[in-house]
Amino acid sequence: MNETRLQYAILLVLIVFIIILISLAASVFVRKKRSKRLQRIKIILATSIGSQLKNSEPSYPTKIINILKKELKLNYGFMAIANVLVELQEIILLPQTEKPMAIINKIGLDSKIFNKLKSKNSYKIALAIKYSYELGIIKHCEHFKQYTNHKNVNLRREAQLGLFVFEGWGGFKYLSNITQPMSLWQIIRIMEVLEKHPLPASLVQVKNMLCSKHSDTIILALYCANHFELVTLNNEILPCLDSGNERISKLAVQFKLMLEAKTRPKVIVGGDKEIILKTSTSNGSIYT
Amino acid sequence: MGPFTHSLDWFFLVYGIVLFSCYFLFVFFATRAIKKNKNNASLLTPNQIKGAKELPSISLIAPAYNEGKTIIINVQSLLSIQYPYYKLIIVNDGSNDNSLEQLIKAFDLVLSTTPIKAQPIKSAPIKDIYTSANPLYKKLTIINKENGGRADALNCGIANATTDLVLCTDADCIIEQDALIKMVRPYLQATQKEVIATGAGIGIANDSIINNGTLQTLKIPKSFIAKVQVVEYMRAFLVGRMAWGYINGLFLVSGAFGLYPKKRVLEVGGFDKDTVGEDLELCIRLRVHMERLKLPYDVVYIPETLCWTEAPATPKVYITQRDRWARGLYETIKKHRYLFYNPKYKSSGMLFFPYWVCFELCAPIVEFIGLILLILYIILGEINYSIAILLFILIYFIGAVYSALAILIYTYNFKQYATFSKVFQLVLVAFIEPFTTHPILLYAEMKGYFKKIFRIKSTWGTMSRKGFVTNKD
Repeated sequence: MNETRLQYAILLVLIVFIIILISLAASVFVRKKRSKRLQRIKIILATSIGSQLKNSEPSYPTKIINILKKELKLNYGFMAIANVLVELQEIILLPQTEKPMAIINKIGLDSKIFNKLKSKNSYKIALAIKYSYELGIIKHCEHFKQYTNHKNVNLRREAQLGLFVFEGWGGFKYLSNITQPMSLWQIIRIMEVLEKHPLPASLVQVKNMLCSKHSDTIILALYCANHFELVTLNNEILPCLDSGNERISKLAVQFKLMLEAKTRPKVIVGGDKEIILKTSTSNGSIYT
Repeated sequence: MGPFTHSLDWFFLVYGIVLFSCYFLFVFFATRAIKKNKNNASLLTPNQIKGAKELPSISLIAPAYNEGKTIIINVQSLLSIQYPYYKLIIVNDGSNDNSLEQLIKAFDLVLSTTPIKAQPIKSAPIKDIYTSANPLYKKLTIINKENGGRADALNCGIANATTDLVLCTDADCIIEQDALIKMVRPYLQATQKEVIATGAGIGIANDSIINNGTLQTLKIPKSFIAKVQVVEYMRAFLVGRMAWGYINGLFLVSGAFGLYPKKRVLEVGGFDKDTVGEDLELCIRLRVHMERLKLPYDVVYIPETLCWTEAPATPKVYITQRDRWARGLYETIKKHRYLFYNPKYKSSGMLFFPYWVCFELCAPIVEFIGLILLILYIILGEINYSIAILLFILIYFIGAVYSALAILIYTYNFKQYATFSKVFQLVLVAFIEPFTTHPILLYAEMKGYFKKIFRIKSTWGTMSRKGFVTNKD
């Protein structure tokens, strides 16, 4: 290779690297600025929601609304505001009836989230579903159903959770035909959500799931039976003891033990009760 | 110069191009992996995990050998971790100092009445087991055993754990409060693939201020050699391991902070006591085990720094550490050489292991031979100075830019070093490092290889520590 051309090539590579370094350094400082702005939004929203709790007729100054609307226009701006609202909910522990719907509607956050539900990006849809159910935007619920068996694990998890949040035990009817595997978190969260809803008179959906061909659906039903001590499902669960699937048979054994324990007086054993509980309940069998 | 040296020149050029291309491919994969991790974290937040009623239980296992200087503060730190279901097992590996006495006094320890069971993995005999009489420390168990080395102590801890997962760490590590919450996420999110190991970023806390066992103020270390290691760790953990994790090719989950399913670790017989690179060896063995069982698996890395440690602050200790790492790498590669281009082990055998052999094991050797050749060329006057200097500048600059990119990616994503002065200091270190500590590193690695090649008996090596800066207020 010609010496001069080689020198030019090396110089070009050096220049490219310098440009990469400078642009990355600049983005670090832009990001820092953005995190400061988000902090300001958090304070604004906290103050506004605080006033909403004190007064029945909350007032949001136009200045605040404009700041939030401006943030919403940015890419992932909806995420920043929704995140702050969810975080504030966790701190203030707002009941379902007192969700900050006024501010959500006023700045158009609900329609922004709805637009994201139609996105082609699985992550954005999952995020939109999560914010919809966490902020109590029930009108979006209908759109979750199409994603319950989606190939993206995060998306189908959020869609299923959303349905359970809004429909309680009725959420099981959307899981009867799922073929995609479930994560431990999906099961844990479904149980937590169901705890907030009263046990239905008929457990036909759970029974149907126990007859499913898909092992993960059976696992969820067994988990549910163990968690809520659904002893009436005895006849449907006992055949699972002979299942070829290790997790299914282990959960069925736990159900059997729970049944037996319910029919005899309890004996408290020594040691760390918390840990004993953890290893003996359904959770302990997840890694089998 | 003959055709042999001409071929060698081409070999070095191609080797360098491939290696640097891999590095920049790593940067690309690492940024994708960090983004994926952030997306997962935004859908499954630490707060949600913290609030969950049912989570896998974890045993935190920390071997301690003559850690008297820092043992109390470190155990306090390990006890203050936020996770609803965890136990802390400190394995006193036959310390000659007063570690055990200090622990007994500080944590109201009493001899456990539970009889010592038969161990599922062999380890040096257990002398006694202590638990705390103080309900505040009910999570704590101390196993006092005869000395058997780090791997042996970890095996003893794993054998005595009663939980789903085991987190192997060191007693001299400061672990972030929410570390377990973040570490457990891959296990909670897993579907088809079983997570067989999870690691996370490890940071350097020399000269930083520790308060009540937690990192209060992170400072850039005063010692230059420790400063260099901050950059090294960013490069290795944030870029290297994240990239390998992204393509499920991770072979190493750091011994200082790795979470494993207990069942799988017991199946493979725990850590190998015959190597000083026991973390790398276990990870490879776990992968091989899953390949043989024909089960899908994943080794996951978390980009956040969740564990802080004290890095060697003097060249002598640094050389001891890197010499040991080089020996560990050599031993492990030699032990698992059957993997090399073995299609039975799929990508692990055909791609990831050959990379480790060619670019992790052989890179110092290639560099060493290259240096000798360079000196020879200079002596023989067989060098084109204008091209050589330009190439030298290019190689130097690529190396420094790679480090600077790691620093900037870290700063972009995490707040720990996100001040102008810290970034400036670290970038400066990245540009000075090739002339200062890199030759020391090369020397240490070659020393380790020579010890192995010429079968010179060597041990773990003494790692003298200064101890963390603590704030008693």
